[in-house]
Amino acid sequence: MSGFVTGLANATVNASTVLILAGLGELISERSGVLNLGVEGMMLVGALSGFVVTSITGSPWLGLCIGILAGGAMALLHAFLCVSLNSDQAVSGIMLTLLGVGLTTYFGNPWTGDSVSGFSEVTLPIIGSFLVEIPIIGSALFNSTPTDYIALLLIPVVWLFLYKTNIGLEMISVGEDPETADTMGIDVFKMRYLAVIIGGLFAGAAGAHLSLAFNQIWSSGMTAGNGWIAVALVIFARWEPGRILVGAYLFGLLNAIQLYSQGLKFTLAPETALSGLLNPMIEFVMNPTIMSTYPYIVTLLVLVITVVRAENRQLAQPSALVQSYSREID
Amino acid sequence: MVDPALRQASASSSIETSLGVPSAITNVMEALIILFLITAEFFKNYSVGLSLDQTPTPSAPGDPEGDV
Repeated sequence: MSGFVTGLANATVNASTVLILAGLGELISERSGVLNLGVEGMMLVGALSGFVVTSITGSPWLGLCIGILAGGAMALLHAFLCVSLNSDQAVSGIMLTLLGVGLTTYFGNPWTGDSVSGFSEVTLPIIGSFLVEIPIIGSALFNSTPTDYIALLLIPVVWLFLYKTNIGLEMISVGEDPETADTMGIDVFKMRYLAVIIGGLFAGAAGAHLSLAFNQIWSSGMTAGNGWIAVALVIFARWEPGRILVGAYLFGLLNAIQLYSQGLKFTLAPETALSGLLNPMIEFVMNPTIMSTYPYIVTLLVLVITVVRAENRQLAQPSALVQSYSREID
Repeated sequence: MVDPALRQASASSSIETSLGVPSAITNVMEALIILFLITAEFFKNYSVGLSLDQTPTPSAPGDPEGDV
């Protein structure tokens, strides 16, 4: 049983890294007032480019860098459409997702099913050899892939960047009130471009982690809706980097449960009361296909709760989110 | 003559079925159509003009740089 729980903890940490990276990127972009629904497409482009570069060069670090840059390139298109052309942010994001899915399916076809020697699990230097002995979570947290450590490290880094640096505070002000920020001498367009591109770099990193550390194979559509979950995760986290970690572990745990419990079978003994009624229900709930829907059901619940909170004025979304900005007077 | 069954489907699935176009390509086509549409929205609000007139515009009276 402890082996199962330890494996579940490992899978949770691995699955949550994708959501941490994509969620942090989405958070930075939304903090500047630009909604990015193209995370899924950016992740796929990052995953494929990272995978291809790694399979050609044999260097997962180079693959990770190229994956990150590929995500940033997709984000540049989104920034151009939303910031320079004032296009609809939701439509632009959906277009990028469609583009990413189509391009990666077509160009990734020769690599479908191939595996690559990506990032392997390493023990955290110096303190890791002691901490890895902690029961259940020790090996999950301190014997992981480098991208897992980087993702965890990025949470305080993003918090410091947003709240303790001039650029971060300017980004937040642009997302709250672009007109006032512009009056104060902050370049709204530059800040929004920067935030969206940083968001794309994070999404590319999330995709590269999927293909180089989590799965180490390429298959089309391998993000499996994680980009959409990352968008919901930001709402769940109420635009705070620290809460991204909690949400990512929750969604990661649900993903891990459905992966790890596929071979398990729970049934009540026939002599147990109500076993005739409960056993079919348990069988239905534990069905792998049904279990694969749990992360998305939770996402839906999170959004419903968020809307209810918004009615109670407890939501802290950036005031100028999804609002395009133009200096011209209407 | 178009198969009546195809009329019920979307354009992308129709060309996948009738012309054998891969679904990935139809995804890209859909994305490009949306891209062109949202880019075109920009030109509803702004017009792009091209001027071939090379003569310098006369400076406004009192403009300090215009007298140099």
